[in-house]
Amino acid sequence: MDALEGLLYGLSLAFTLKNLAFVFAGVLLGTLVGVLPGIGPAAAISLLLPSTFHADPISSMIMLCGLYYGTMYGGSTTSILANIPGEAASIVTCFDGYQMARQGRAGPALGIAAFGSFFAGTIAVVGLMLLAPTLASVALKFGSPEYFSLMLMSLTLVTYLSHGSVLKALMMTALGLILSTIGLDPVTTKLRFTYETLVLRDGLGIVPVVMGLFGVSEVLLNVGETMNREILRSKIKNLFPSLKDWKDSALPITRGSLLGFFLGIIPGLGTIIPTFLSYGMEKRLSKHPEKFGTGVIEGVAAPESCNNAAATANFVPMLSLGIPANPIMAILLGALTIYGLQPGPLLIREHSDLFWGVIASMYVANVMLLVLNLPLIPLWVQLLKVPYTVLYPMILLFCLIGSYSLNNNVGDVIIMCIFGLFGFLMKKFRYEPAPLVLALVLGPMMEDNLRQALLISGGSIATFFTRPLSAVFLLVGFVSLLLPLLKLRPTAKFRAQE
Amino acid sequence: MKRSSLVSAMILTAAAFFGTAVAQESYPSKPIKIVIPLGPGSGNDVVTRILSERLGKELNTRIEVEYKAGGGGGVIGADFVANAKPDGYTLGTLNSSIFTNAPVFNTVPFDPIKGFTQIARMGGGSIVLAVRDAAPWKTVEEFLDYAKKSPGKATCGTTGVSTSGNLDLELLKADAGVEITHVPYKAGSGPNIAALLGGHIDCAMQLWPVLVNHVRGGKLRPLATVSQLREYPKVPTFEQKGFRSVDLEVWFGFFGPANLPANVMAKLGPAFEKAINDPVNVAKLEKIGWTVQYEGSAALRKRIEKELAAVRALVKRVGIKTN
Repeated sequence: MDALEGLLYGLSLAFTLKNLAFVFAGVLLGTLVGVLPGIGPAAAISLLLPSTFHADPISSMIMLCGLYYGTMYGGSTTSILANIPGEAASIVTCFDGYQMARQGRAGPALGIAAFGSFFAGTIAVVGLMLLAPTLASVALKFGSPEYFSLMLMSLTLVTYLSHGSVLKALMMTALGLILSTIGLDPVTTKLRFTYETLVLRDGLGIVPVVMGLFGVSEVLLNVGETMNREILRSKIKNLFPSLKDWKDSALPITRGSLLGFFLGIIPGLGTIIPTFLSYGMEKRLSKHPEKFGTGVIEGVAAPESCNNAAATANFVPMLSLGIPANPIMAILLGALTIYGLQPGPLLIREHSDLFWGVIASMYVANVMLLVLNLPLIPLWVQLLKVPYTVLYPMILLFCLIGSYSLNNNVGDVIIMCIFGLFGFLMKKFRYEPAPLVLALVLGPMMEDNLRQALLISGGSIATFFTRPLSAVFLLVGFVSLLLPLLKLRPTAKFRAQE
Repeated sequence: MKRSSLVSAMILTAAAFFGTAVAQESYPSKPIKIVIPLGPGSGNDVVTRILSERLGKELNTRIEVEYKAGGGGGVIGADFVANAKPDGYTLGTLNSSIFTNAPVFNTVPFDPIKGFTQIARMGGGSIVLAVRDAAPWKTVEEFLDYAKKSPGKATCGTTGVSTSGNLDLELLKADAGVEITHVPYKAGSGPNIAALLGGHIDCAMQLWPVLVNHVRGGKLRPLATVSQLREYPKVPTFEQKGFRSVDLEVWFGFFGPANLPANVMAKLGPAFEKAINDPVNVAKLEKIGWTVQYEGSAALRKRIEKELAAVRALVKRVGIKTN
């Protein structure tokens, strides 16, 4: 079956009234889950899973997939409005999105996030449809050395992420890496820094930490401050992006989509790391990098497109190889198994109705999400008028529910609260949480892959330099670390002359 | 004072008696919660979901699944089951490594045998040594030959240290007298399979249900298995090849907290037996690579005692470091 024929067949499945209803239910629920800080796609999908066992597998998958990219769309909303990421892949959106909202430009920020997501989602589905099997086998060329070098390169980008002190950003990165060593040692099963608690054995969960550092701390910060909300209220300029916004965003959206798609194919990278890379890349390419972090639209457009493209690309290894790229894909893989389908290299051939049905429904879902989200923008902007005394207790409540719903474990709630307090102190002393989160996401994967690579190479570090792809990543990382230092020198001289 | 405490004691006794009497008549009178310690999509989850319909019918109540993941291999979920009220409304689908591996390699907060009421064993999945389709080795001997000729160069992936796959690998190394480098993929079977398919490691010692679709799709080749594979009868077992001690599998069992009342067990035992042996369920489970082999409470308890001792002995014999 060629792609066009397959797509038409898929569309014929997706456009039945029943499946349209399933897509709609999925994206609507996903948007809600995405908007609510704390409750992430994994918890939502596993809650919904039992209700699908008696439905038709294709309809069920369509709904669960819709839910997943719905959360990717919705995740940006609270990032922009309240500086609290709706889910972990929207952390980067906070940097410029929230600043835009403070300048009265929440509407354009939300608008560009929705359009960017739509564009990225659609491009990624085309890529998934045409290239899935080929790309999946290319992604397998990624071995442990490549993963490690890519992650090391990503880590060097923290210097681009900070809009304050680079030194403080590096300190937070180091702290994140130290925190990422908590848990069972991957090679010896020794317990590290778990202090007799069970919840720490699997390491610090990313989601409770993110919710603490961004959500809870933001609430605490606002309890202590009587920030002038009039800025937000009075100057709501326009609700949709202007022509200039479109011009500024066109390239970042394209680049973000492509980067997200290609990184999303590589199993294990998930959706968080690509958004950081995308932001770093835009800042590097920008003519005015110093403005990043003060509310430039590129800083919203690129990472938001990136996370949607990555979310769709995560389906590539899952559908074509049966390898789950992230925990959500693992749940969907389990769901397929329960439905009696066999995820693996034969899935596309043996269950072509499922593959094409899901692909076609992705197109439908993207359109639905756009239609659903655009009218919501004025509504969300109105939300800024809700008094903090009402809004923040609600956010705190959702964070508490969300962190518990991850594993039904109070331990995660405690971790979130501790990091909430810590994040509050960090903000007070002007340390940024993003480098810490990036390091915490990368740390365990870096360690795993470093040790795997060294085990495979028999302990020789040459493996990182002799493998071409790995060497390129290391080189890029090295250069990106050096460049800011080189740039510093002329200014230093200039100052000396003065 | 004395009288009032006597009265309250009487009331309590009466209440307890009345309570049990009611429970005896009507268990289960509300939905039963089954704890999944490895999260949604895990083998435990899939198996429980498949059995839950018939189980619910037999017990005439709803089966609710609750995820409690974490603690390294499901220890948190197991601990939750061990500490639940022994009323038969909180059970768990627990995997063998919780009982046989976790207590050996790390401390666990529960007694792996006395901390639970063993209800039934579903069966399990074999551990299989698999290589890439493009790999030059057609038999386990050829692979071991290669490993022997270049000691330490051959690499084998598993889902992490102290998993059954890892222990089987250590046993194979000891039995065959070869050196194979173990590469643990702590993040799960996904990265392990990706590394194997990509040719970054030579082989994997993995759970059969994880491998089965890749073997059916012609991407991976099984060289030897712990127990006979019905779908691929030509794949030899380790025992047939002379590696007798390579015999650890992964299995699933259903457990409650210690001291489940006899009337509850009288209901649960037969219900699980019927659900597990239901031909529809057996077909579903075997299609995804599990071997259904029901065992009752006493047999399950004996099995855990035996396997726990075996893993302890193996760790000593092969010289694996534990905490």
